[in-house]
Amino acid sequence: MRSGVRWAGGWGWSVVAVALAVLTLTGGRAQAQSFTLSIHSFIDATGTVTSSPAGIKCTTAKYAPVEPCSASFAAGTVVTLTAVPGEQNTFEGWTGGGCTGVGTCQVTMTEDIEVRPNFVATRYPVTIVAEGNGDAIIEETPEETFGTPRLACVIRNGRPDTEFGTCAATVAYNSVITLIFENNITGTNRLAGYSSECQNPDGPDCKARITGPTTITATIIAAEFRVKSAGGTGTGTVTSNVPEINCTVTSTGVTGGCVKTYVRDTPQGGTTTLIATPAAGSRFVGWSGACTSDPCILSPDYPPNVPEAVALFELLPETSPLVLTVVDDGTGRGTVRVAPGSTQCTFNGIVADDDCSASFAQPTEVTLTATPQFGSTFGGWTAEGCSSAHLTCTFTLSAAKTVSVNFISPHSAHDLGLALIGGATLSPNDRAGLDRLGNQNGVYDLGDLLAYLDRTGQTLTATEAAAVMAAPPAPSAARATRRVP
Amino acid sequence: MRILHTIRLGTAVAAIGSMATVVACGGGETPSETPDPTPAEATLTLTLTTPNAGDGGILFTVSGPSILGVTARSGLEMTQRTTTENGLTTSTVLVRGNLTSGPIGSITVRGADARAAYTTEVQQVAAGASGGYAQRADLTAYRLATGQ
Repeated sequence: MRSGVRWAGGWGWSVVAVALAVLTLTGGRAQAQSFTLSIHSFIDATGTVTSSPAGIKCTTAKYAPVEPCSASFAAGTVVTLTAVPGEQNTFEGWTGGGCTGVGTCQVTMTEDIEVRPNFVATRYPVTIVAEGNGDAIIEETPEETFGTPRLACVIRNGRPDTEFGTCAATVAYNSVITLIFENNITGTNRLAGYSSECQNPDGPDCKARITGPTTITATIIAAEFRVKSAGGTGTGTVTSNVPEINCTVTSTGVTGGCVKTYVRDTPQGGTTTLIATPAAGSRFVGWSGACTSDPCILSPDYPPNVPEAVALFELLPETSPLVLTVVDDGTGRGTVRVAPGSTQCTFNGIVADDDCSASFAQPTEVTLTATPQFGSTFGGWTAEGCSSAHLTCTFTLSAAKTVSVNFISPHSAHDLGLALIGGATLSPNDRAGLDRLGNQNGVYDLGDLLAYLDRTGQTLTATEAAAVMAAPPAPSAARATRRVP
Repeated sequence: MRILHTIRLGTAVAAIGSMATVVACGGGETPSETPDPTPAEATLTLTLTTPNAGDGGILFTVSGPSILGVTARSGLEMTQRTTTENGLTTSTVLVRGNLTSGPIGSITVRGADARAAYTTEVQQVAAGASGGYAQRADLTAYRLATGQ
């Protein structure tokens, strides 16, 4: 009921009305009563309201000290309120309590009353810009919004995307806005920091008091995938099918191309494969982090939530050199070249003097090449993995090994034939070599002779034998070779 | 496995004829005007029977009286060694070449022994290159005959 309230100039009627009201409320008995007068507060405008009689001294600002913005007054009390705008604020009049205009407001306390002083702060533009190459959203915390409209700036490739976000707004003077960093899309972008307008430029939140036009810069770094060292004792390299990663891993860290940056709109396509290769003397132990197997294959939606592939290389234990020994088990002459390296073994048929060797620091693929000399014939290898049909023999030397080579000394077809029919002798080594060339049944026989003749191009032709044949048969042994015309 | 074959080439008729000749000529002191019908040398053909194709060589012996020489047929190579012991001559012969059933050579003997028994023994046979120079394990089907 506002019937007893009047502004200055009608006090006589007011006193009467208040008295009537009090009598009415108390049922006709004289009884003390009070009512509350409240000042509505704004969070983004500043001003001070004081009352007379005293009781209210209210600053209407979010961050102002807590002051009494309401008070109780005895029924019928006439209270005068005075509004004073704060810095960079204007007072635009009263609302409520029957008050209007920009002057003082008088209310008679016959009930609880709320009065709103309409302070209006000066508003300043606030703009969010970005640096870097990443994706993110920089926005006002939803719990406390000052911007008009609310700031929610979408950043792509380090640039504000105004089509999808709000990167500019106005904010009332002296408001303290709070911007937060929201990771976007890949989940592995990184906030590098804010500009100095923020009270805490290192983030993750930016609190800034707006006292004038303000531009806040947020630096966003795109998602990155890194190769890291597990700190093992060995060294190695990590290569991949993407050009960015070609990384050298040591016990102390990584060098070279060890980072792949994922920038929005850059087509990735396909899987990414990381291949770990140990350096000489090291071995690759395994992966940790984003990689769980070797080679490490990352899916097309890479980078993974774990943006690191950690490679562990260890030094191989020191071992004794691997010794390859080449021995001659024939009576012929020839050489065997050992590659890699410059070792060349020369065999002259004197077995005891002919052995030679080569040493390798680690398992090595070795190739032996035999070259028969001075009419000798290559009689084959005696070693696992070596075929006697070939002059070369290649194998991986992973332990000490001895390889026998056989060079068959020069023999005429005549003598080799006679060795079968009892007219000549062959050394056991030559017999063995001839058998390796031939049917390899463990003995020197007719098949071996045929093989030797085919390989050497010799024939069973001997002119001197023809003369023998022309002579009368000897009483004892006689031998002859005769070519049928 | 060695295979022995004995071939007696003389016939009873021939033997009787020879004996008749000897009788007719015997007892006379005066040189006969009739030329000796027995030639100084005779040639006996060595004929091979092989169950296999691709034989590249054969090693055999041929034994008998007075083997004067051994020759291989055209296209084959040969090495041989001859020993004589107690009047019996044994030639160990190695023949290389593409062997098929048929004549592979011949032996030369004294004409007077042309009808004597000559024994052959196949000791080794090996395949040629196409057969990996493998030794023939079973020689029972090989035959080597001598004949005029």
